[in-house]
Amino acid sequence: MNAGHSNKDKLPPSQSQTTPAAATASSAKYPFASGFRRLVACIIDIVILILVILVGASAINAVFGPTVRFNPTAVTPAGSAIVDNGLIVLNAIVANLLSAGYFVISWMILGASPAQLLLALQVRNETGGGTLSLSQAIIRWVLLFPPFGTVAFLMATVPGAGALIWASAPIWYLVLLTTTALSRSKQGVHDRLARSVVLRKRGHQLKGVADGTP
Amino acid sequence: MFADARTVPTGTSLETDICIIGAGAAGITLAREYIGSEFRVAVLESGGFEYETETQALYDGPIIGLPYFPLAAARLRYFGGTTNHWGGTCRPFADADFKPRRGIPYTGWPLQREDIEPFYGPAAHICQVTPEEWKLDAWIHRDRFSPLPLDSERIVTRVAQLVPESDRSFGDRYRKELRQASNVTVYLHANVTEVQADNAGTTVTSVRVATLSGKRFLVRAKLFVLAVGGIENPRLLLASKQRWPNGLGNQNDLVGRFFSEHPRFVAGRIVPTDPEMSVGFYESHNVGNDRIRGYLSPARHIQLAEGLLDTQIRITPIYDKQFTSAIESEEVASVRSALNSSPDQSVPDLGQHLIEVLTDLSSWQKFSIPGAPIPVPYPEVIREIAQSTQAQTENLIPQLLGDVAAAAYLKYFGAPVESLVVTTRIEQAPNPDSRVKLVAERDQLGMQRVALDWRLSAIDWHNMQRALHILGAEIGRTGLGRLKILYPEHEPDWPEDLAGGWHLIGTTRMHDNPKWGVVDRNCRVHGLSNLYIAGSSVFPTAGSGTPTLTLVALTLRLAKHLRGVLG
Repeated sequence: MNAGHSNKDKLPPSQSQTTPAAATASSAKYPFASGFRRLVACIIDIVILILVILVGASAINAVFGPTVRFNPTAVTPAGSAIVDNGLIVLNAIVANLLSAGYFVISWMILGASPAQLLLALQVRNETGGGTLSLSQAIIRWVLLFPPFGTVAFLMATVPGAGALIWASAPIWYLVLLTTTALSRSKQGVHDRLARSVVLRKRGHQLKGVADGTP
Repeated sequence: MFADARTVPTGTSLETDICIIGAGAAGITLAREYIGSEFRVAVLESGGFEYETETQALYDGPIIGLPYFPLAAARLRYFGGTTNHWGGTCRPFADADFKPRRGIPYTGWPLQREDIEPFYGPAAHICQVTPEEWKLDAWIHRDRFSPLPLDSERIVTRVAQLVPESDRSFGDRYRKELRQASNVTVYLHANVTEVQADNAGTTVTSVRVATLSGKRFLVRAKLFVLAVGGIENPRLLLASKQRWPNGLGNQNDLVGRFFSEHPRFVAGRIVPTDPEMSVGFYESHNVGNDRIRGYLSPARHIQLAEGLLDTQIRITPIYDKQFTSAIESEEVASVRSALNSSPDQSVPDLGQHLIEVLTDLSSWQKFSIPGAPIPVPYPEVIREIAQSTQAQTENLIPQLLGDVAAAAYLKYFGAPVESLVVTTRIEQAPNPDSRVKLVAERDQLGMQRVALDWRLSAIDWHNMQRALHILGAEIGRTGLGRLKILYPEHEPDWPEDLAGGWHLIGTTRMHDNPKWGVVDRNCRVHGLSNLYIAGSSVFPTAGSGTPTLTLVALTLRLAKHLRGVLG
């Protein structure tokens, strides 16, 4: 399925403005997925991923011991919990790998994360409509789930940096939601930069969608 | 309007109708009552608009009795007076506070509460608290905290209102109004060193004023009102020996005697049966737009029946050490400082404070797994919380969420209590041997300094012990816990942490009989036709609460009386 090859001399004037994403949707006969459905899928994915990460953290705990030890005799909050920085690093690596694996691999191979599959969503290359490449998947994952926690940990020695980093998280997600909602093709910043588009699969029946609008 | 006494030429004689000496709570309240009236008012204030070390040093004097705050620290000598560091607590006196106590000499006012009642409402407005809201019922139905379920026939919970910190200084609040008053002139840097009377010694003719810069002048008036506080009022009278060698108004050797305070110290500890016991009502807290604090006292009928003076019992929770550390942290202090400053005030080192608070607010990060899409606690943290009781879980809050979050949680929900510190504040029994008196040392203006000889008696010790026993019996009866009284019952041995409440009371006490009082019921100095005293120095007794609201109310009463005198 090639998109974006419209011959401007032959097509009606309205179709001369077709985007690659729209062309992909058109050729796939799938509408752009609604923001609500995508949000629900994201939430489900997060829940699943949290459970997976907790399993990973528990495994680290079992093998190497607890990352956080509580000290009941401490007299100040600062001394009340002893944290193993080495294990934090290990936890960060494992959690990031699990997160990356969960999304990147599923997008590349299945064209959708587990929750997206459940909700009949497809993450496609906006040009050509195929599944995402490795670089596309990684870019999309990083933009959709920026490593706020990891960066905050790395900048722990900078006073206030952690709080500012986490404070930027809701701002970032607001940007993603807003740009997705305002885009005709429902492509947020993360989709634009990763050159991906999220479609909603409506079975194998053609639904006569010509321009990709839901 | 304001004037600087340092610009008044030496030898000048100023004329006015009412001369008010002192611009603290009483002086400012009195002056405001005449704004726009037909009377000319001169207010003589020793200091300027800000604290000045040299002026403040005029307050210095030795402490020769029980330990007390340095006299130069217990009061503030600039416009607004001691309201510039006022704690802001307000509560009116009750009926019983005006009544004599069986077996305790010198108690009882010549006034009753109904004589001051009409002035408490306006006084509350002046002090910036809600009038008429003094009964417990007015608060408990809209307060998230509840008082302890004690028998009110034995121990009562009373409510004091707290003035916001930014509104406490009478100087700041009423400066503009006084500046705009054309018939009221506030002379700053004007130190009154002597009150002068006529040859018969029965009418005040003028006051001598001196500035630290060396100016000397007189102020003549029809009426004079001393409003310089419980140590300076008697000092000025004692130092005015022109007609009376023992001082003005001191024919019966009463000026300066009966110095009273609200002695306070930690007297006991309650171990609660249930650590989840809510005592937030007894800590300063907001109820809507108001701020209040509850405290305990023996029921009035018990006081009157047993001949006890009033005792205010404060209970202060001691939380888990983590919470205690959190609420005492610098980060919480930063937040409090920022919240308490008025919008037009700049907060020093705001950026630094902000960074500290932000860092504290992100304390939870070290307990959450980096790399998770949202903050997720480590499994061991989840396990710790799951295995904890409610009290233990709450005690984890300072560790997990930081000091600021812990302080906010404490403020709105309370926290498990380890014990309650019991602090008593006593209505001191009038004691003629507790006094201020002149000493030979002179200040920079040549005026004799005063020494404070504060004394307490066995009556005070008994009152405190009895109040604690009543409380302890009631705490035990209700099953709330057990009270341990720290001191033996029959051996008055004032503890090391004994302190006053910054209340200077009784040194020019009120009594209709000049043998027992310095002023009469209208605050006029006995033997002098035109000299009055405003402030808590006229109180014969002072309840166990703070005197400010009552002294403002009494001052309003005096203002009305003086209008009648001047016709």
